[in-house]
Amino acid sequence: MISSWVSGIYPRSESLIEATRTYDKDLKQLFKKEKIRSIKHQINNKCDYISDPLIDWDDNLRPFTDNIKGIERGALSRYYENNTFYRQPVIIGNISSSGKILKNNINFELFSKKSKVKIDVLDPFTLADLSKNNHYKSKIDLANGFGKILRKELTNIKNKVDLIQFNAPSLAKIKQKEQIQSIKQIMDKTTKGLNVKTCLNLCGSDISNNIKNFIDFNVDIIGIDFINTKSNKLQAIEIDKTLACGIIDAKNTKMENPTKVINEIKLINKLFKPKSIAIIPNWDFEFIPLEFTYKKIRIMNQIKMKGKGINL
Amino acid sequence: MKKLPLATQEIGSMRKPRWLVNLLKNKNISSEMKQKARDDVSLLNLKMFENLGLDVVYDGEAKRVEMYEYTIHRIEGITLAGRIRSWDNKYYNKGRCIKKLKYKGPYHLDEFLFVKENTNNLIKLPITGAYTLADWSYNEYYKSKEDFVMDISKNIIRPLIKDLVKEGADFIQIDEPAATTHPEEMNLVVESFNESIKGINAKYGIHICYSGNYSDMYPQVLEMKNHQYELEFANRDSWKKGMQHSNRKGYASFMKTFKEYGEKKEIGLGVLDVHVDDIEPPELVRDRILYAAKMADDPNLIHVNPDCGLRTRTREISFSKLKSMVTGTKMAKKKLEL
Repeated sequence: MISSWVSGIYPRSESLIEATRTYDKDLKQLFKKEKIRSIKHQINNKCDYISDPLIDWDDNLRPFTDNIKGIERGALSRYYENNTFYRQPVIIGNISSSGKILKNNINFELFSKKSKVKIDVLDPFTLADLSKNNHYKSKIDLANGFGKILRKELTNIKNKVDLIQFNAPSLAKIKQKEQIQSIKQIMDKTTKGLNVKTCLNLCGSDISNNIKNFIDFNVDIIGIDFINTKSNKLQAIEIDKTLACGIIDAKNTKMENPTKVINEIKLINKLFKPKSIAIIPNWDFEFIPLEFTYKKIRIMNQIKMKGKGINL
Repeated sequence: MKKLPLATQEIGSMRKPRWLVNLLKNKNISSEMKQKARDDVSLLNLKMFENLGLDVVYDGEAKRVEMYEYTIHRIEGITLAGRIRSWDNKYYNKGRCIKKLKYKGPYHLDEFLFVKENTNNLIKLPITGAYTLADWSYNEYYKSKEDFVMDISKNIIRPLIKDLVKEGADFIQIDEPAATTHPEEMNLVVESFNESIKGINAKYGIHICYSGNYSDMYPQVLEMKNHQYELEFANRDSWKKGMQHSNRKGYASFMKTFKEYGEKKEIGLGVLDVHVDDIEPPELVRDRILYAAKMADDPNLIHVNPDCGLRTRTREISFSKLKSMVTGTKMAKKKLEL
């Protein structure tokens, strides 16, 4: 049985883009309306975890940038290799939060009681890596600070959530085992005792030479970007967790062929022998327009249906 | 082309006046009138640059919507997919390549001929490069990014440059803002640049901005057949005056690498941050130039420009920034006795 869900920020519809450009007075309502539509689309396409499309977030860091003490908004900076930019958090003092950032920036009221709810956050190291550190001694110290903030934030919403997905594009780029181990300790402190399923999503990079350094992280699910990590070049290694395969290209409008995806999943299953397999996009869908996002989510459902009879 | 040490130049786009934007949106205005209005703004920009004292000019891209979208509309095989966020509520249209691309004709020729007819200054014609066009598009047709990039280089950009040079263009700036976003693809950037200009005699610049560390371009970029790098630096620099490395941290890393490799290509030195309204004092511009000239061991290699197109600033701010750039350059020239 293959499961599926989406990741991160959705694109905005053309009408919502227009509304944001004209500063429509009903903007808040328009965001909500479009969120409801996208959540319904996830449900209709049998996503196993349902998430807020986060279309009102200006970037993946902004709620934190704007609401954490010790941070100022900095310059626009390129978000990895994308032609999309984010406001860089500038760390000017010890960082702390009220613990209500996620509570106030995710529309929990839009989820039905039947839905299993997933939330997306960047992992502590990625938050640190994307910041300009003018205060802490090292990036690891700053990541530790972000870890404490995330723990406080997640503790306050854990009763409303079934899966916490840490999207970790900066972590996925690290090659040094020692550094990865330091970050593992921070992640352990961040998630210890939360009693919610967790996913570490190593999106955005080829981690083919590095997978073994991540598989002992204390999370339930490991996400691998199989658009950048070529499965036919990988060595077999057992992963005793659920493997979330970032096999849907969230950065190209070309539609996946379900049969080809199923064949790749079979190969991945053989290589890693995971507890179970999920399919997810390899990045946030915000890099392709909404109509293509919807089509890709429909294809994810088709892949799930096709995968039903396969013994994984 | 004659040598002009510390020549001042513009990089690309200027913000369009509000009246032009409104006029272009008005469905009751004829296309002839709209064309006339675009010509007027083109001329306005050109004369503004001349009056400010810029040595090398163009028209502030008055006739283009935007560097990417304008171009893809004029290539067969790319269709618009929709808008993608650039930042916050700012979006750009992104194209899908759905079949083999085809050159439909010299899409910058009319604007170039207009500029040529209306100025006696040196002209630098900006065009969007193959690598960036591919990197910013969805590839649904070509087997690989390499195939996509190289087809644009050979079959779109090269014929375009050939047509423009035939009509008198002798200095072409190839805009490649995506060039350093994937450092591992630098060989492809270089190969694509060289294929784009192959066999066509002109002066060539490459403009890169807002991505990565320019030092990562080395050593591959030594093989690139460009004559000038037009780079964004001011955005990375401090506003402190002086020529100490610590005050010029936005320039230091690249200039050190440039020197280490014994480069003799020109640098179009970005001295104006186009993302802030603050006006750089002429003394700061002067010190940035003097620092780069010293590091390059040759002031003849330094040309002076904003980091990027000034379209993100109001026309008033852009005017003041460029004025300061020209004044600061004069101060540097005086100091260097040029």
